[in-house]
Amino acid sequence: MRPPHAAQRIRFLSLRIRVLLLSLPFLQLGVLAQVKTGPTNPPPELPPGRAVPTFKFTKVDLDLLRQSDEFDKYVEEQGWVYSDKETDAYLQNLGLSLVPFETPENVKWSFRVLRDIEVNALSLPNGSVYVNSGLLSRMENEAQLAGVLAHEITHVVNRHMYLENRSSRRKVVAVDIILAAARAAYPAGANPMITTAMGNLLPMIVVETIFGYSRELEHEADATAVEILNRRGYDLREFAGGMDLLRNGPEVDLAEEPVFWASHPKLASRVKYITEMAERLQPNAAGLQVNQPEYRSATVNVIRHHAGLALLFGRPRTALVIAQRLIEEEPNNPENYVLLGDAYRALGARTPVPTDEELTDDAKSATRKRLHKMTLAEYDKALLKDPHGPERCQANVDRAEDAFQKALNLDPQNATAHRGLGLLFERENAPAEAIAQFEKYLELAPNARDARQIRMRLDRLKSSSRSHPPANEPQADGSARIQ
Amino acid sequence: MKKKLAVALTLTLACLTSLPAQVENRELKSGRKQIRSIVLMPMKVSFAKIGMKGTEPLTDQERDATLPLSLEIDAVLRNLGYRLDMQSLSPEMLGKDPDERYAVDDLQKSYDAQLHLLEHKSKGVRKGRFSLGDEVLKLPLSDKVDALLFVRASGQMLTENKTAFGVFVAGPSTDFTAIDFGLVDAETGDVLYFAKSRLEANLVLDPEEILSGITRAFAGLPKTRSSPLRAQHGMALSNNALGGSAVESSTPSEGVTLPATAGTPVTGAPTRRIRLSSAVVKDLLIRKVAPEYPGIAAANSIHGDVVMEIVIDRNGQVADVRVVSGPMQLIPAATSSVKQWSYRPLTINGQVYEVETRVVETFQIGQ
Repeated sequence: MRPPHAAQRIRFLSLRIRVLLLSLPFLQLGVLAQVKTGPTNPPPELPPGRAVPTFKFTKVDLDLLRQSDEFDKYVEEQGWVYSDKETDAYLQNLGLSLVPFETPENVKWSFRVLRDIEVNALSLPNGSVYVNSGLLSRMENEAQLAGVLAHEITHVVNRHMYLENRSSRRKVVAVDIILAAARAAYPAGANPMITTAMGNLLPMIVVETIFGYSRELEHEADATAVEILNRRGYDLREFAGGMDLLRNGPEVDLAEEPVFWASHPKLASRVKYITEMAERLQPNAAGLQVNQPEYRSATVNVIRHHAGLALLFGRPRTALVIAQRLIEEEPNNPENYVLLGDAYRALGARTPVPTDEELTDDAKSATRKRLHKMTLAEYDKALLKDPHGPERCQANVDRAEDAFQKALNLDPQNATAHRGLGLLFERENAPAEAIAQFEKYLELAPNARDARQIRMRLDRLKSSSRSHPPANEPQADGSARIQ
Repeated sequence: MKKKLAVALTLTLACLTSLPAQVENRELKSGRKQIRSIVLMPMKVSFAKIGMKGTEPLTDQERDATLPLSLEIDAVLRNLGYRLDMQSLSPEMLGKDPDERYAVDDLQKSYDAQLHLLEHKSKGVRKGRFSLGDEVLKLPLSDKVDALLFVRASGQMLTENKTAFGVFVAGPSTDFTAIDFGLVDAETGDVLYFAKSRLEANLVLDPEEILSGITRAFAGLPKTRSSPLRAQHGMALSNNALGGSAVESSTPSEGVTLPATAGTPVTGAPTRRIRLSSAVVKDLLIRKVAPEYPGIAAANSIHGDVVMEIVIDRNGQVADVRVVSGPMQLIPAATSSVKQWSYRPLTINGQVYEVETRVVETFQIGQ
């Protein structure tokens, strides 16, 4: 087959450039629009418990409702929804307890978790509220989560997305933002898929997710959330504190997360506003609900799952923070030490906590540029070439090995600890030790989901060992100190 | 100085535009890695209408475009001797096991995280720069699967006003489709082949153009030693597309075996219509009636092609014929014969489809 004609290629290239250039003014418009548009009414006082506001549905609204239902189905099919009975029940009960009105027309409340490394939450006009696993892993207690849910519930009850969707200008801006975002390159490890795919299905979600609603509607949602939380007896300071937690995560490489809950420019002023409300409404914090143990117990599975996602998508510091937190909560659970070991192994040449040098704006910008041009594997290799890279990597290897050994001390039959050690030894070029650990893993967990993966690694190691026999035999217990 | 700049710009543009449309991994090129059986990852398709008022996503068309695109890809790969399993990783087949869905989703995200580099630095595929790692082994697939195919397609359809405006201001003036194909080793996760197809065609309405773009995209893929796979009973679709079992269940060299129940329509399922290229539909043909050469046309040495758009109904009968072009004297004979053709009804997972396609009847003197 003949390749496309050169002239045709030039035409395509110029077409793409033109389309991109044409979309830039729209992008700017979009940013401006999200500040300037929206109802001009001042945020109303909405005491919980009043009757459901009447809302007359137009064809445009019903279309949006249909799209929302389709979106629910789509995210389920795509495997974006995290499914765990305990977490689901907790989130659903908590969400329902915060609903201030009788169920409005065309709303069916559903509170679920999205598997996503971004720190975010969103709601659909049909009553579906999604909280990202990234947000759950960052929050510390029920009062903080309740604040986010109450905020999203208000968007649903007060029909905010319908109102925004009725503005054709907002919709046009929405689609143009999506197109521009789809063309923009994301750094390795960042996860554009959910946001962009959402955009294809329901453009308004992307605008609200990235930029939030108009200032007035966000203020209204915050004010109502504060009232709901106050009525339910939650500590409002925790709501403000939770928002503050979202601003600064453990990652510096990918710190600019383009989502509303994590990076909205007005977040600081919102924290200040909620804190002031808290001081006015709850001068004495004694006896207010925070419910940290309940939150931690109900979300431990999703948070552990999120740590796995973080490891997969190049955020080992996030996984490390989660592991340390889980160990603090459950010091005798070997799985928490396995996660700690996995996180240290994945850290490579990074320090466990960002250094001061990394936190400067210049350094962050340089890192983002680097990530833009590299795959995650290449980035990890590049970090090793930094002056302190090998030394930091060795320290992490030692910490990882210690963590896996602690897991084995707690439970000598812990299969995943053996897998972790095997992966560590394999990477550190200690094939005999790696083989011993992998064999142990497969013996303990022959039907594990990754059994085939480990078996292939084992086969490769054995075949490589036959051609290059190892210098040292592993120790009797199958372990070895890596030098 | 200006001249130097112009030369530099020209050279840069020449370099950019001469980037190969397909890049092949060394292992694949050298034959050390051989692939035969490919599983299609759930594809991502976006389709939008661009008008003077802005852009409107066409979500219904997006959904409708996925199946024809899969079938066109299947036809091209089968012609090259590859076997495409379109079903094993589809949401319907994954069932309710969340871990299986997570595994598929994680890989999709890993692929998409590298897509911008794949598009702009695709030469790196040759040296094995891109990989999804052995996480691919967590997919619920058999050992016999050689590769995974990732497809990302986006289409833009211009309104008439936008087309006219585009011509006037030298802006975009035609419908446009961009499709990226990434073939990933099912054991190591290495990207074995990456191809881009950029077409001035409508993703939904121009299946012939799309098929030609797909054919060009896979032109760099080595042909397998076996002959092109042919479906039994003239069926164009692989058994998995029709709800059959996974890849290992049939021997590729024997062609495609349809399970007895594969084509059984679900009673009461609504009829849907899709548009397919003639290359895909021709394998569904089970009865072809040759046209009678009109005497007057033969006497006047009138010959040529009659191009027709036809609709095949849910029973496989030609329900509608519309002539696109052809010599006037040959049209009645052509349409009359085509109306007698019959096809195997297109039924996929119990859904019966009406098919729109293009057929060409050729009249040659001495036929």
